[in-house]
Amino acid sequence: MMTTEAMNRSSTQPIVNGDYDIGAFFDEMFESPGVPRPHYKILLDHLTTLNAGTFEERRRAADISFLYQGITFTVYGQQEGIERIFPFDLIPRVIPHAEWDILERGLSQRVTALNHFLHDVYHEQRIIAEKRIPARLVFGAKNFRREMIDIDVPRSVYAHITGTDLIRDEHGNYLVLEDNLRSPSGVSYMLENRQAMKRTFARLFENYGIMPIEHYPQELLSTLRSVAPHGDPDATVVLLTPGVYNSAYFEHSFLARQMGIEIVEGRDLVTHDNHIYMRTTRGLKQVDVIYRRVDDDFLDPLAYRQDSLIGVPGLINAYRAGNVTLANAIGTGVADDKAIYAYVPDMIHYYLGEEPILQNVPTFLAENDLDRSYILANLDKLVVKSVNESGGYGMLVGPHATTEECERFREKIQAYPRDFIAQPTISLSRHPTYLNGELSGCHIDLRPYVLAGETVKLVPGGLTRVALRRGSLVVNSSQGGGSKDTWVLYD
Amino acid sequence: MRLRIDHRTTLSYDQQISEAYTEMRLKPMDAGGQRCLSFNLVTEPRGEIMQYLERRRNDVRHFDVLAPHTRLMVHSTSEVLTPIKLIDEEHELSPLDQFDFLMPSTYTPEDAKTRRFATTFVQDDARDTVFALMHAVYTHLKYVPGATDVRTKADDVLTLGQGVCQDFAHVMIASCRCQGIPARYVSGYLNDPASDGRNGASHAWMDAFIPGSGWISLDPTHNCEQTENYVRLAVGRDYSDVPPTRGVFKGKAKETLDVQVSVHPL
Amino acid sequence: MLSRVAESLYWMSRYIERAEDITRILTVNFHALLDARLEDSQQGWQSLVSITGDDPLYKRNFPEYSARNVSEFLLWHPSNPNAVMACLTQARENARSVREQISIEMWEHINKLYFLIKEVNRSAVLRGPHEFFSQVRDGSQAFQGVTDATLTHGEGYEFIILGKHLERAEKTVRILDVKYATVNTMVEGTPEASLQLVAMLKSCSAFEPFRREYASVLQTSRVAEYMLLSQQFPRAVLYCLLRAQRAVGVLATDTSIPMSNQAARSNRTLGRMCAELQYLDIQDVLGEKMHPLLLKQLRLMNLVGDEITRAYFNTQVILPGPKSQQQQQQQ
Repeated sequence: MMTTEAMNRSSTQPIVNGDYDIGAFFDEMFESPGVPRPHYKILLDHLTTLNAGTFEERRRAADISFLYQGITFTVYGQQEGIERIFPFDLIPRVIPHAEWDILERGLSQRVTALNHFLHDVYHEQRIIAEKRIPARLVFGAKNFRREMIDIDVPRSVYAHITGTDLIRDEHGNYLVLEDNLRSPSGVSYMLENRQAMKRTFARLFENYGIMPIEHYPQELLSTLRSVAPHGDPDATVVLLTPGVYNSAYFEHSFLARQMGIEIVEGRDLVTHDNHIYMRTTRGLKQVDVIYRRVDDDFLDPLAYRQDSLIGVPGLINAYRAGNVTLANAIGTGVADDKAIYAYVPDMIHYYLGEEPILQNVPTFLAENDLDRSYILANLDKLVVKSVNESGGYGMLVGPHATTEECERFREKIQAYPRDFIAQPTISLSRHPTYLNGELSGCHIDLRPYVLAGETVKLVPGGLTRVALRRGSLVVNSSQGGGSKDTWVLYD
Repeated sequence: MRLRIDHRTTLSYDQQISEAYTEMRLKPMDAGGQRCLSFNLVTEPRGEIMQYLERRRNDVRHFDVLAPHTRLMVHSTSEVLTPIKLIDEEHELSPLDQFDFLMPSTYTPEDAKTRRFATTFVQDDARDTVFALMHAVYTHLKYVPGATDVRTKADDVLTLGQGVCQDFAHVMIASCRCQGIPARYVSGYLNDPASDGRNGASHAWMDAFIPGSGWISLDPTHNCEQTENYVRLAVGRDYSDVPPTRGVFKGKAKETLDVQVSVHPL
Repeated sequence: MLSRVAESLYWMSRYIERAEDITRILTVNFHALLDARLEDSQQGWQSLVSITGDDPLYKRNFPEYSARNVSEFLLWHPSNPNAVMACLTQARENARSVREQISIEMWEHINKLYFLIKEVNRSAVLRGPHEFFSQVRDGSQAFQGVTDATLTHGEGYEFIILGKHLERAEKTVRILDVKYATVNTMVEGTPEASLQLVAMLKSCSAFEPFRREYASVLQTSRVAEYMLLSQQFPRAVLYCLLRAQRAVGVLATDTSIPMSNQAARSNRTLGRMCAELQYLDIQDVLGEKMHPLLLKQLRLMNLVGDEITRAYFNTQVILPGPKSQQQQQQQ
């Protein structure tokens, strides 16, 4: 937080000044000090006209609007959950059309291969029989679901919604950091950020040529409809949420509202004779497609955790019988296991016979003896990740870690090698971001959302997350990250 | 041998429950040389009974009762033709079975004690090792009903030194697996003409996979191979994969379980 | 509409209305009681607690009745589930759980109202509550206004209307019950009696409408008649019941499915209550007969609440199709 004094002192100063330091990183806006990349020129010209006071005012107006609309997430870890707004930076990220084109093709290719992989591991298991990927990695994955074997899902699509995290290295190359195939969140921020930017910088939109993303909810709905049981075009689609205390509840209710579908909790649904119904004031109504934002483990107390209070008993049986579609399917988590991630380029070769358009970050699997020795010898240089965690939890950033933390991870890696992978520390690209009255370079990533149903499609854009702590590499909302609007330009 | 089985499970509740979902693995398998000649399942309250086959050919039936009730009964009758011993149809395990039947599972965790116990009985030949292990489990554990419950795991059984057939099978499975021998749990019935007081009709034992010759089926509770007196219902990694009945319901009632099984030669 | 959603809308509406009603009762009496003699004042404060029906709870937490204690109890004491603070928290929680079913404006207003009371300087309010009270009242009325103006007037709206009017009717009956008992012991036309009648009317915002209708005659029977039987005044018991009955009627008939037993019951109970009041001559229930009549009304209102809950919220699973219904009969 800035003191009032500091505010006053700087409020008449321009936010773009000579102090901006590109550092040894790939800077999204500046080619070299003071020289913007062509697609940022109009934006920079506009920013140059703003002083800190004006900018601060606009920023506060955007924050208040987020708070009043209840665009919040809940942070856990302290005694009780606290509602926060997801910090929003008003400086947008701009992606030229040609660059997006590559991302779009690369992500479609990747998600297509991942869906082939999921179908394969839950049917013939060819890729394992042919020893292209070690059996123990797949079968030992925490989210490999045996009960999915031989279940046929509509159009053989398992991951209907994928959020893939992309980063750029110091040369500006896009790399895939991880795929999120269970229930990726954040798309509501992508949409809300765009609204906030339109309110704040209406004039810029007029002549920038920014591709729209507002149709995402309709695309999502048509994707969900396209995988309805028996291809029913009038299928009833609902969104299943763990409830209002879930950290992503805002997003759940936002998407349901945008799609015009019911948002239901487990207690609103009931199974009868292998069909799923919702309880309404007019009696029971059959449900065909469930866009579920509840983890596998909690979906059905009959099949999984009997202590689950947010699930629907009998749901898995109805699913197996083909009377309801779950999106995403059960067991997609096996494909976003961080050890299996290392094999995605192989999957693209194996299932599609194509060269991967997007590269992975080099990854060492602690499970392999050679890799493990390397990891243990270079803990201080690597980023170590637990294979099943997400959201920046269970992670060791070697260069920033204490000796004690390194030792703790060393023991864990030796005891449970299957549970860890390591990657070199990538110098994430940076983007000018408003901090304390001026622009500073902050690390960013990008999460586009890939929809897979009858076809595979993306809306042009995604959620750009930014590490708002100076020097921090962690961009997750639960770890002090914020977000930016992402502008993909027309050709 | 031709056997007739009558199996009645009654669940009683001290107050009304509703939305009860029940899953059953009660139909004798058509596998391993065994043939199920007839199977009939009746429930009370009545519900539409649905069915599916699991990957390992276990037959699962399930039904729901939404209306309030205080008693739920499941009655199955079946006729089955049993072979004199397990007739194996499988000579090579699929990669998944290879993984599942060798790795620790819910009831058969990996632990040092089981490993030490099992190592003592290792023979040159896998088959001999399995028989030595069966004998060891049989002599090491005392059959004491009530000493364990349905949630007791293999390592605790070994420490306790006593248990029922489910526990005997789990200890034996854990022992085989840590010797690199794939092993699986079998749920079923036992026709025991000369009942020696050890658990009547519902029974559990195990299969071990001998490379080159396939599955053999052993009963560590009785220290013998599976005979024509054994009826197989389902196989899995351990008990948690194949409980004969399993259910959830809505309500705060206390549940009382009554099971009556009879097995008769025809 | 999902049963759970209908239930949340209904309770959201009831809780907001309850918070406003309690605030209004406090506002009116706060000023009146500051002018009263000490023993009258104590009794007066006690009567406020009686109106909310939470006397036993109060006695467990406070030794005596005073402006400060009663205000604290009714506004935000943690022991009181019907305190204004608790009501607004409940209203917001209910709104939050159906966030996607209500308008953005409704959600913004309910949030503002919630933060208003959550973050207010409490001791300042207890010293001089007037400003705060009007903010709560304005907030609640603004919420009801945007509800009317921004929410589709469909099924959910009818549950909101139903909740609001049942709550209002109940509060008016309770105010009448407690205040009438006091006035009944006084001599008609004395300043004390008049003061009480004015307070009774103002507790329902009925003073000015009453004056317009009855000019200057402030008679107990007229006041009672107005609060109980007016079909125009929006806080009169009969008005509220008629509006509630209309909502139940819409809910029950706006469907191709025949009305369920429970829905039919709540419709019938409300109809009976309305009919009784419509044909009531106030002269027949003055004096000692007033209290039993009001008690009966409260009992029937509870019954209606239960019937609505069973009909729409806790529906026993009713299966679609003839096959399934046969199964129901077998059990």
